[in-house]
Amino acid sequence: MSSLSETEFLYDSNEGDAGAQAAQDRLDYALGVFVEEFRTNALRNLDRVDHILGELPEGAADAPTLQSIQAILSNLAGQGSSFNFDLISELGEMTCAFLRGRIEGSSVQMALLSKVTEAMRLVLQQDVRGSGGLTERALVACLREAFAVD
Amino acid sequence: MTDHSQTKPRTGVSSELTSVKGSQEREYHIALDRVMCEIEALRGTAHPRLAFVEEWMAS
Repeated sequence: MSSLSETEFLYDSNEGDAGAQAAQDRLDYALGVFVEEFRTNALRNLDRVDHILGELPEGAADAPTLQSIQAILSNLAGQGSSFNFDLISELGEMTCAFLRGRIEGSSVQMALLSKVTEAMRLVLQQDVRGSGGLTERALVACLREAFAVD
Repeated sequence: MTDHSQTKPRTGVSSELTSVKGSQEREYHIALDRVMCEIEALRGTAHPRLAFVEEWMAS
């Protein structure tokens, strides 16, 4: 039994070209809904991270807190690549690697995390797909250096 | 903490801004650049420009 593509599944052959276009429109609409849902959830997850960071005593975090933040960002990174938000995925993965490293959870490191969530929020709100342009690549380079030093 | 966005114009980013359309997109680039300045300030570097930006400015 042959499998149907997404467009074929939505396509009524009796409708001819108009049916094909209508099927494509329905598919585009459905994908758009999924993407919007991802962006909404991603922004909520960034809110969760910011809330955690805002509640830290004297701005410093312990190991369980760092793991909680890492779990949120890891999930966000995975979903980002699925929806063509490669930059979000890259920033998330970079930050997770930072959290998995020799980080002790100092207030400066947590302030750095706060800047990461701010940048990710800007990227999501601007709906930047793919890996971004010059400014976004400068951000990645900036963070790569910051994560290597701090 | 130094606010590098006030003391050092990042002409690399500015040159990119000349090619983007719409005030919202410009605001986005400016905001992202500000975040970069704040990240660099957290590192405490006096001359925080990245090699990437230096090359960008020189071109």
